[in-house]
Amino acid sequence: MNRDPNTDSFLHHDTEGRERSVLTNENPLLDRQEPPPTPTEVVEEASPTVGTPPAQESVLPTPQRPTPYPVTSASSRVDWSAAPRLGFPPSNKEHVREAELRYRSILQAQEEKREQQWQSVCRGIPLLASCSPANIRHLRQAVRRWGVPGPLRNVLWLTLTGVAVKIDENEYFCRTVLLRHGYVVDNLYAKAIEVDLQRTFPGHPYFSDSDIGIYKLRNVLHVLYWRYPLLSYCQSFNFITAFLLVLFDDEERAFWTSCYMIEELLPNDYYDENLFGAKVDQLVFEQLVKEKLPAVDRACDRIGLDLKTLTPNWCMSLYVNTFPVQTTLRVWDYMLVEAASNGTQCVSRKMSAHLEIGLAVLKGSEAQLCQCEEAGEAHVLLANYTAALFDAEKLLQSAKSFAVSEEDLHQLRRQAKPIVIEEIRQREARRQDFQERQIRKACGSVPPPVPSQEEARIVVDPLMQELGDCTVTPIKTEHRGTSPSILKTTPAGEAYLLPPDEAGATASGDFSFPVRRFRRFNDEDSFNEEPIEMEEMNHYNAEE
Amino acid sequence: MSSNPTPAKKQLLKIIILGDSGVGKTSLMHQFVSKKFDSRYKATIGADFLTKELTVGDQVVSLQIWDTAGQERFQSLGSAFYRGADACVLVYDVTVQESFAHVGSWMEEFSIQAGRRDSVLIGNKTDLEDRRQVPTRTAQMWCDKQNAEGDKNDKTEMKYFETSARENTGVEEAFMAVAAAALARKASQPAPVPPPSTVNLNQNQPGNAGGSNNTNSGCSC
Repeated sequence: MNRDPNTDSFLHHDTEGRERSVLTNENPLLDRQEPPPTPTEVVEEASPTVGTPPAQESVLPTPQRPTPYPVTSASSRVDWSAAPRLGFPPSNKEHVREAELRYRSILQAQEEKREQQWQSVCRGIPLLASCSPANIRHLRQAVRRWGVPGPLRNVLWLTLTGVAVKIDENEYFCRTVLLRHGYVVDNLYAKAIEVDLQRTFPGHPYFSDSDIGIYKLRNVLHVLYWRYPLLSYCQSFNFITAFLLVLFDDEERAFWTSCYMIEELLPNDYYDENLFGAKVDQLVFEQLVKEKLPAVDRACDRIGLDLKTLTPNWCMSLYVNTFPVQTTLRVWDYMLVEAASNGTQCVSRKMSAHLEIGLAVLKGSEAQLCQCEEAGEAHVLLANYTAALFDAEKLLQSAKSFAVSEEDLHQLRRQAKPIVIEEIRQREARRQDFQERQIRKACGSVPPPVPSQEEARIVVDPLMQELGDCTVTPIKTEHRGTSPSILKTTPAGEAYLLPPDEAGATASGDFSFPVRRFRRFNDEDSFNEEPIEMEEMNHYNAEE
Repeated sequence: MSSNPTPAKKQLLKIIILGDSGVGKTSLMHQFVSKKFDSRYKATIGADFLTKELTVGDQVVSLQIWDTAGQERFQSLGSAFYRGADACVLVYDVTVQESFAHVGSWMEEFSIQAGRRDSVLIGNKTDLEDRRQVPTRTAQMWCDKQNAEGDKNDKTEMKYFETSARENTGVEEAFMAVAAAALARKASQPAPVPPPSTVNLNQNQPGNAGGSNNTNSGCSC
């Protein structure tokens, strides 16, 4: 089902764009093999796997066949992108509901005005992958002047970020990856994904048992896992992807837009094993507050509020659970399209947008923050303030006034990186020290054999071994700070980890398309270099 | 929040909840603070924060509870959350053996980042008794082992509780115990332990930041 009636009315003359759009109607490839199931059928098929690991998990020894998934073109029966609050349930906080009522008419008026202004602008302009550079420039100006109108949001995000082109060039990417490689099975990430599926917007009907949200979310998270062997799965991918799925109800679009956010808006190492980039941004944000909001900085010092405790919640899931949904949409407008530079190229990113929003939040609550007596009070204040922040336009205006240039941001990150590296080293050293002491205590004074650096070892908790009635479980792989490895078990039952290179090869199985590798913080020299160069996006030929 | 005037004696305690993803940390916190249970909480990113005032003995205590993210990589963000923590609540899921096996490493993380402080161990989800994988005795033995190995002059012991956030059994007791333990420790050691070095982007030689109080030889910087 084409579920974009609103878009259609806007794209009235856009025959070319609609022809080229990946999403138009059913998936022809799939139709050839099996009839597209109706949503009800899909739910019936999908529901047995919800909450339980894929059936093949127990039969595992040799290269197993990819798990079969019903990749489908079925759509949700409801167009959630047009529903009030995108279908999210009303807040359970009294003051948030009151604020929402207060702002309802204002927001509606803004939206109507915006749509009127847009009617004249984009009529007849081909959008999505067929949008010309001149039109992109034209649309960017309009976006910056008036904001993004609700009915056009999906299409404008895809067009102005260049994601539409990518979808077009990589037809059926998710489907192909899943059919070829299957779901990730039998590792901790597979489990983490499965646990988090149930914990992503649990109140939203799209992710309930009666709709297909969870089912699509699972598909996209597994494809993201295959795409980023060094990030695997990080909590907050679930929220970003799920939010996009609510809007798009389409795996390909949600996947490529997630990729855009992970690859283009945030540094490559943002979500890695050490959350290196996120830690760097914690420091950068502190510094920005110091420079741009000295009063807030003084207040934080006085009451002992650590700004580092705010940024992870805000930035890692890109404000998805921070603001009311209406505001989150406008914040994402800002990050994805409004803050971008005025260039003609499809991709022109603004990597500091998430930090600017954070600054705007602090600015907006500055007066109250300065009156707080202690850190706990400030945390409660900020949580209440952001949850009831319906005046998105004011927030975005404020964010724009804090614009951080690409050069400044790069400079700040460069300054912060050595500090974060040092912090991680110290933590690692303390951990090693601690473990050696523990092991010495447990096994008498005989020091344990020192494992080679190449080979990460598995520490079996000596206490666990001594306790007779529980099975010995390897408690922790000591393999932080390097690329994820694959756990192998020899016939004798010894577990070992493959060195990263080999592991990468195994993890990706018979991957035939190039997978983007991320640089690690322990590549000593990568910090002396200029910005990490992104490989040119390859045109993944999934059929190859 | 601070509108009702309380005597200056009011103690502030910072409690941090640690444990694997999905063991019920958020549920425990909400059950304790607002006596509510929702079977489907969102996954926690970074950390969540709630406060609760309670009376321990004759003292009014303001409890700041930090509910942390369970995925392992979020530990590295921990230092900001762990800083100044008075006690930690280690949580595992009695129906998931693995989550119990990881308790040791969570405690280690807390010890490393905040210095060894008081903690309690909670086995959550006892309402799922038929799916139990970790016997009470095992967990109790683990606690005893920790207590036996602890500092000889350190008289506080790790207590073990079994709870069900769903049915609200044992939750209150566990949190009261951790508050009492942290309070006792605070009273016996009035001088606060200096927090770990903070890092500052303004430092001239970022490469050496924090190096001055680094007592470990592991640093090659």
